Amino acid sequence: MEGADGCLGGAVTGDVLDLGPIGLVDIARYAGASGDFNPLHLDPAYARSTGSPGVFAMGMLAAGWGASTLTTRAGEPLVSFDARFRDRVWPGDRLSLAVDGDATGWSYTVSDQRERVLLTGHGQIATYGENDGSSVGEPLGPEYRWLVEEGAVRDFATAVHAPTGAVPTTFLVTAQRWRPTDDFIESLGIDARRMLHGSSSFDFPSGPLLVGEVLQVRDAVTGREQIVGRRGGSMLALDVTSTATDAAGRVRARTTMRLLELAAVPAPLAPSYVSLEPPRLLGSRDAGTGQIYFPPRALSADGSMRTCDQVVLSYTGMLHAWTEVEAVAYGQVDLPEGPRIQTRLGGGPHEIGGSYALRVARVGEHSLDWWFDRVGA
Amino acid sequence: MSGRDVFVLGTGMAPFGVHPFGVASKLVRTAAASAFEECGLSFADMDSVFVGSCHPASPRGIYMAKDMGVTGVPVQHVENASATGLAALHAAATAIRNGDCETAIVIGFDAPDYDIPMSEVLGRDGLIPPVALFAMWANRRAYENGTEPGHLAAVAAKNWNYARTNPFAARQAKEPVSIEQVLRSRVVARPLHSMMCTAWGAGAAVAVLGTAGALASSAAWSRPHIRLAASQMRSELYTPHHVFLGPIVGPSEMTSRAADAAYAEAGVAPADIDVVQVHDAFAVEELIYYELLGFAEPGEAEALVEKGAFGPGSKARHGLPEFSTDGGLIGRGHPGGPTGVAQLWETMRRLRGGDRVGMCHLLGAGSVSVVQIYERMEA
Repeated sequence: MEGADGCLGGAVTGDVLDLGPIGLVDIARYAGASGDFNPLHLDPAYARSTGSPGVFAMGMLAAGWGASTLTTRAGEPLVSFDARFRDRVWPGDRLSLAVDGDATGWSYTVSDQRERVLLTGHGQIATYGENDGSSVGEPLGPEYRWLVEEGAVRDFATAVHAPTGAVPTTFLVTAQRWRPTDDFIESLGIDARRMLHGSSSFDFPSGPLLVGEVLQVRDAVTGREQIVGRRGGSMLALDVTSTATDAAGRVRARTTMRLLELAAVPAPLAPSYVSLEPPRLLGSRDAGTGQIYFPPRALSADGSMRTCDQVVLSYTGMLHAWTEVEAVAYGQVDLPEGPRIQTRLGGGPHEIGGSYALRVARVGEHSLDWWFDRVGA
Repeated sequence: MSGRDVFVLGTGMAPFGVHPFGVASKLVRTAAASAFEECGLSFADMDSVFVGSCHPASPRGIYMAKDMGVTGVPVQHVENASATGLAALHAAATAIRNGDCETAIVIGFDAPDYDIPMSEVLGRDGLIPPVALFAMWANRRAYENGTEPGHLAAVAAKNWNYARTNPFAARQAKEPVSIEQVLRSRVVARPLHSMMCTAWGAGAAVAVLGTAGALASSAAWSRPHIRLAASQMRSELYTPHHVFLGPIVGPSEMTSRAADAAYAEAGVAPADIDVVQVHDAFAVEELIYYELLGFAEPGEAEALVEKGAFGPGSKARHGLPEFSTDGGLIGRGHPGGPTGVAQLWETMRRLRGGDRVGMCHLLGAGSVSVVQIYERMEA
């Protein structure tokens, strides 16, 4: 499977190189080395809560392996590199890299053992570009210092299987560990649970990074557009560019990542049966039978078509039954006037017969969330 | 129900379980071919068609009928969530009793053309995941009756092992399943483990019903005659503490109301029943239905399970029927459309194999309960 030794040039065109299997340890190692602790990649329960069958590898981990392989085969650092993420990489996938191109530039495809295309992109060596020094776009937060530390470089190189003695192509991602804000995604105004990493590109306009450099990084939003996805849904594409410059103002490294925010499922309007101030549930009462219903019914339950009156329900009750699904507790709370409320529960421990009180919180601009908490335990 | 007698002329199945998208018509044809083979009839002999499916991504039933023949007869769609199959049989039987038709084919199927997660199908207005409701039933029952996880596991293991006798079951365990094995499976919602919960899946099942006259002119005449002795449907009746928001299914007592009415219609008692198929989507349900269907006193089910009742040989040893003999929803699987018709397939298998009276029971979210009784006529 291995291609010809030495220079990547024409000799390896059409080669398929085995990158090996990706496992949870690789994911953990990359999280530590890069500072990417997105729970999608590390916490199975969280990953499932977003609709994923489980955790999956960071796209940049597979891209890092790809860049390292290109670098090794080229025998010199890449001047530019990009990766576009096509599909998720699952623990256990065995990756291979197919390369095509000429002496100085290649396009590549990373696939799994079933020939599922995971990412595609380009790599290039040779001529360093003009130093344009500028990055346009809306600045994002203050500038911050970033060190190309030897220890960090070694850890990162191990995580992305990079050749020793050089700074790995994608090392600039570690700048996120130096970023003064830890709610970076939030500061972009996008919802992390609906976010996908679309692509990333790297370039080094003034030669490869060197261990020991002390650089200033500034982040900017350099693109923002609504695009239509493969499945027809609309999504927001946000380009975030991080530029690292030295004391002389030279751009030493630059990366642009495209983040995609999938369209939100329309937020439900606040249900009409819950009020925030004060926190109350509304019900209705049939004067004929004295029955009290939740949520409010327009008509009595006995079929005689009597109109019910709206009533405010008690906000405490007794737990009739409860359970827990994927670390979320659910219960049935009996209110003194009758209705049994099926509800999410707050933190435990929970106990049948215990007292529970309604909680209501605002969600977004238009909706309310509600649940019951144990009280007086 | 009164009117003309309704007989089951033939039943057929296609395997329940995971199927690729877009195979509904193929599954229906497979199941229909076996049903027709049993009675020597064909689609051309059918006066009416009742199609039951409930998965939103399944193709519409009329196309299933047209794939077998473009014969001009009435084609009716029936949907009643998990109870769809029995509801379609109920509708077909009503038409035959009333004299609207001599024969009817009941097609139960669910096989989606595209992907929609079950949680979305069931959970839309649910506020809580479906499994949570039944886990709460189990926890409340444990609080009141001391039910232990082992009791639920015993019911589940029994059904897994029955599924090993059913070539169409979604879950085919290579070795007999033990209680310990069920308890080692993943906890989905305490105290319910994954092996105590239905496998859902896709599939098809078909039944051919007809009058005594249709029976006499079919090949089924030479086999034991299986008559629909009762078919009863009930919906929720307001009870104190009634849950209106996100209940999935309402008070379990609607099962006993439907069963009482079915016993009265058939003129039989629980002691006459040899075999029962129930809505055991979650093991705790079957435990509760032992009582609601009249086979155990309230609170007695656990003790009976400990003695091995409701499993193989239960009738001889305990005077109690066997339950979920084709694996039930837990073992056979539970695509909503065909499940009730698959219950009838199993009832036919049992009644032709020696049992005399069989019962089928399903719940449908929302909610309704259907109970049917079938009997083998003495020659």
